[in-house]
Amino acid sequence: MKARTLAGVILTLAALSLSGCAVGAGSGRSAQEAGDDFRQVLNDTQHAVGGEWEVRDDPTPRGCSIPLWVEGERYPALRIGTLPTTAAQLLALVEEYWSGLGYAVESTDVGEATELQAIGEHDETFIFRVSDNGMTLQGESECRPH
Amino acid sequence: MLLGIAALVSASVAIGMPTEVSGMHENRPPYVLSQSIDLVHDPLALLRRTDLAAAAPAGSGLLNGLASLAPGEIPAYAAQNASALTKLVANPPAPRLVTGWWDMLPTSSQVALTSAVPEMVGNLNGIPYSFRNLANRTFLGQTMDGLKTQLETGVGRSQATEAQTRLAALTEIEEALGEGDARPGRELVSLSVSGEPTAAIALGDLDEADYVSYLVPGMFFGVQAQIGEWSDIAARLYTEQVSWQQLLSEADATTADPATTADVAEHTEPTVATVAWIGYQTPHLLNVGSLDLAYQGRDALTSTIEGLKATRSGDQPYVSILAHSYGSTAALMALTEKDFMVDALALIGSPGSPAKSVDELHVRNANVFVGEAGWDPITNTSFFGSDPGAASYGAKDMSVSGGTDVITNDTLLPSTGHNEYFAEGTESLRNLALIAIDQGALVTDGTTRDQARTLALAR
Repeated sequence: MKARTLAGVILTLAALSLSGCAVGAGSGRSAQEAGDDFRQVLNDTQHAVGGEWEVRDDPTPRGCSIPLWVEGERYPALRIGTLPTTAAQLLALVEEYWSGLGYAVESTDVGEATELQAIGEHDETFIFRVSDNGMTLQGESECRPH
Repeated sequence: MLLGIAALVSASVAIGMPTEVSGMHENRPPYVLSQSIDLVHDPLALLRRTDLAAAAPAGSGLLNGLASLAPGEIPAYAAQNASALTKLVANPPAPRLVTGWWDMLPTSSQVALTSAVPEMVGNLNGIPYSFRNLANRTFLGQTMDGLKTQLETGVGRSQATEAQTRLAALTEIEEALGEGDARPGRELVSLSVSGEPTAAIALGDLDEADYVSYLVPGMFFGVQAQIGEWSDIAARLYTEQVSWQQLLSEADATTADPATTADVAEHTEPTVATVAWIGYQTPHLLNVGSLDLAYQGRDALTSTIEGLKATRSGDQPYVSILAHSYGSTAALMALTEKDFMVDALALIGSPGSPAKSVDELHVRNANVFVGEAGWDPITNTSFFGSDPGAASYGAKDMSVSGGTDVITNDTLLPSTGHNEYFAEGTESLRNLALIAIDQGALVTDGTTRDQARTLALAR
C-alpha cells in the first residue's frame, strides 16, 4: 500500500514537472522581492521616459493564485505622467527598453493613445500608454506565495 | 482631513480632555430630531435639554443627550449609557437625521464622540466617513486588545474558542486595511462585532469621490474568510476604473490642450471609490433557501446608501451597486421596496427577486446590467422570483464570456461557474468597472453590436 502511494506521488510530481506546474515554479523570489524588482523596472522605465510622474503604487499586495491552487500575492503599480517629448519618441524608447529586458512587447492603438503591453518571464505585466494628453504606466508583479 | 481629525482625537486623549469647544457649524441643514425640539427655529434647544441625558434615553433622544453635553462630559455619559448606545447602533435613526445631528455639533464634540463612543460613530450611517474610519479603527483596536487580554488572563474553553474566532476575524479586517500608506487609502467604514462580524472597507474617499460602487456579496461570504479577498477585488475594481478613466482621457485628443493637461488633470480628474461591503450576514447551505437574510441585507444596504446620500447631500456621487448571487436578491429587494435610487446596478449570478422588470427598480434610467456565466447553476433559476436575465425583464446583457476587448484589443478572460465574475483580467471585471464609472455604452453584451462600441460612445 505504501509503495503504491509513493509511486502515485512520484508520478504526480513527474507529471507536474512536465506540465510546467511543478511546486516551486517561478522565479524563486519572495513576493516582496518580486515586487521590488517589478517596481525597479517601472522606475527605470519612468526615468528613461522622463517627464513628471505621479506615483500611485499601492504598497498593499493583492491576492493571486499560483498553479496548484497555492495562494500568492502580487504588487500593483499605477503611475500617471505628463509628456516631456512626443508620444512617438516615448513609445520607441519604452519598446526598446522592454524588449532589451527580454519581454514580449505588443502595441495597440486606442483612439489617440497607443498602448504597449509587456509580459515578463514570470507573468509580471507592464503597460505603458501614451497620447498627447498624457501617459500611464501600470502593471502587477509576479505572483509569489505569501 | 483624516490626519487632522486623528491629531485632534490624539490630542484630546493625551490630555484627558476634549479640545476647546468651537462655534457651531454654519449653514446647518434644517432638521428636527423629535417633534418636541425644533432645531430649525431654536438651534440651542438641545443644549437646554439636559433632562434627556438623565432619563434612560434611546434613539434620537440619546443623540440629543449627547449633543447637550460639553465635550468633557461625553466619556462619562457614554459609560453610563453603554447599553443604550449599543441599542442605538442596532436600531439607528434615519441617516438624514444623523447627518443633521452631526452637522450641528461643534468639532470638539465630534472629536470627543469619535474617541469616547467609537462603535456608535463608526456605524451610524449619516456621519462623514473620515470620522467613521477613525472611530472604527479605534474600535477595532480596542476590541482586539480586549480579546487578547481575555485570552491571556485565562477563560473557560468555550469562551476562549469564541474569543479566538472573533480575534481571527478582526485580524483579517486589520490585514485587509492594508499598509498605512495604501494607495488609494482604505477606510473602515463599518464594523460590527456583535454576533457574526460584519464590516465594510472603502478604497478611495467616500466623502469626496465622484463615483462610488458597492460590492455586495452572496452566500458563504463572511468577514473572517473573505474580507481580504473582497478588499482585493475592490482594489482591482478601483484600478480598473481609474485605468479606464485615464485611457478615455488619453485617447480623446479632441478635448484637451496638451500644454495644460497636467494642470487640468490635477484639478478635474474624476475620482472613484469602491467599497468591499460585507454588511450583512450572508447565508450558507442550510439557510440559503430562505429570504430572511436577504431582508437583513436589504435593510443594511438601504441604510448604507442612504447614509452616503445624506453625507453627500450637496455633492451627490454617481452610485452603483455591483451585486453577486444572493446579494443581488438583497439589492433587488432594497431597490424595489425602499425609497432610494442608484445610478447603476449590475447583477451577476443572480437567483432573482420578486421584482418582475427593471421598471420596478429604483435605478436611474433603468441602468441595469445582468451577467450570466456559463456553467453557473444559479442564473436562470428564478429561485427568488423573476430572472433578471430574461428578455422580458428589460435589463441589459453584460458579457462575461471573454474574448478580445473591442477598445484596447486586450485579451479578456471568460468567467465560468458561479464564482469567477470578479476574477482578474476577465471581461466581467472590465464591464463592471465601466458600469461603475457611467460608461455603460462601452459595456459589451457579446453580440455583433459590440463591434460598434468605439471610443465615440464614451461619455
